[in-house]
Amino acid sequence: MDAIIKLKNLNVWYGENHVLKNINLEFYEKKITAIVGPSGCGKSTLLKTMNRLIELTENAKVSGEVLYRDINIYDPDVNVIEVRRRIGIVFQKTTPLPMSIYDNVAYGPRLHGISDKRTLDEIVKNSLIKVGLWDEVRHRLKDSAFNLSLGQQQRLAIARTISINPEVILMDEPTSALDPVSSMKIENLMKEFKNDYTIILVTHNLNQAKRVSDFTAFIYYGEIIEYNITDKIFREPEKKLTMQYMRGIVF
Amino acid sequence: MVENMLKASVNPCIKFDMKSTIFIIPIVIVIGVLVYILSLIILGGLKALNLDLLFTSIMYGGIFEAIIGTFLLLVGTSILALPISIATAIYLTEYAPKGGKTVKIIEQSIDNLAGLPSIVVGLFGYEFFVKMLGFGVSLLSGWLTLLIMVIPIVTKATKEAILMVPEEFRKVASALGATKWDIIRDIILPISMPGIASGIILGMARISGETAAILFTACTLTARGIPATPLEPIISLSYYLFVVIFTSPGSAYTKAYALATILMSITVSLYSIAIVVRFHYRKRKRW
Repeated sequence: MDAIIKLKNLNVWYGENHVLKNINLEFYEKKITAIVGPSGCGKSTLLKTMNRLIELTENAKVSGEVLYRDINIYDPDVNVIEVRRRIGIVFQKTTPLPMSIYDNVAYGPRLHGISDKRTLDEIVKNSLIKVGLWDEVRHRLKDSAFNLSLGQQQRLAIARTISINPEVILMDEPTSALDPVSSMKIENLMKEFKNDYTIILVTHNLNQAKRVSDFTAFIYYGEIIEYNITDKIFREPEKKLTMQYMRGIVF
Repeated sequence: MVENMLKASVNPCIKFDMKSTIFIIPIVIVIGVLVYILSLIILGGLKALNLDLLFTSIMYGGIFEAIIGTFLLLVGTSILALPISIATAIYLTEYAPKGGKTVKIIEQSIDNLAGLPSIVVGLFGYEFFVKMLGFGVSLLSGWLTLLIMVIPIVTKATKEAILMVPEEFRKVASALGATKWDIIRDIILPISMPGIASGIILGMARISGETAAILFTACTLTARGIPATPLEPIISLSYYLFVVIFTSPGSAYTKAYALATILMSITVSLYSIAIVVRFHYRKRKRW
């Protein structure tokens, strides 16, 4: 199996606070890897290091390597915009950009130089079809994206992410703000997307990790405790701490 | 028992009434004075106001040049103020190191600039634009002098509008590969536009009645009519009002009231537009 992203000795500090400690991890191509662990233990930070979005956080410091197809994305000559095009992210909070539904999806492609109307129409349509939103919004593409329901907004966010053809999609608790039906839709999308994308999913919903992921990493206060095939880590975890977390004994 | 409770709850009300009466008196006085001033000016103005007056040249007893002069001052200053203020606000909010010394110094300077007495700004304008740069007493010198008074207002309004843009938008746009400039152009400026607009209107309202700053920089009592180039002097409503009262205290009183009425309605309508824009903007905001 090929690893598309490899983390090597990755450390992150927020000021004096050492939030990620010596992380070594490999993510496999076209698989879903879940990252589970208690709140505030560095899961989201880990995701943000993988497309350099962490650089928006003012006092964050990163050391170590994030290799994407064996290129360290923190190398000075790496183009951060290209990194973010290939490694997209979906956030926990559904955030439509303050524009129409159409423009939300077309914004990414436009940033990357596509201006031909017909090409954009095609991209918008295909992206919305892929997330199952096309039939719901095809007649109101010019509407503000804020008029959509939360579940629809999150699928729009996914459409926006895939509009620029990423290889990897990072998902930061994408369903935690949604109702069960909308969550289910997103989970089904993840399973469908496995053929085309590598998905790295941060979740604190263990059942979700069990349902959708191929691999699971358990992170506890900045350290990777265990990383294995999802089936294995849930059925027979090797570490005591993992077992305790899975059973809800430690939080 | 119940009656006692009722009494107990009635009594404080009576006491409270007396207190509130005390507070109402000054409010009545303030509103009364305002109404008196407004009615005095408007009643006096209505007697003198008619279309002929508005469209007749000063040379023939009208006030046409003064209206045009004020209009030119407002429009020119706004056009000059917008890019400078927006650029300053963007630098302060997006580019300058947050909490750094530079930001503090610039913000403090802007506040101080806003607090300068207009006659002092006028004196500076006279020394710098009129004499040193040699623009003479002209529309251009007037624009530049008023600019000093307008920039703090528009910069502050723009800065506040930009700071209200939610952080999430930056995160989402950055994740799609947007550069800082992309985000400013596509998201921050469009969202901030209503705030910036109400800022520029407030700025115009602030300078529409300004007299001291343009007294020696832009205005002379000329018979040349409307200026052909920005290097010619103008007559503004406020300046002409000053001249009318100063030169002929008795005879031209009705004209003074007419000028005051126009000036006041310009200012009041500008403030009202600014309030409406701001209100509309708050209502429309969705995030």
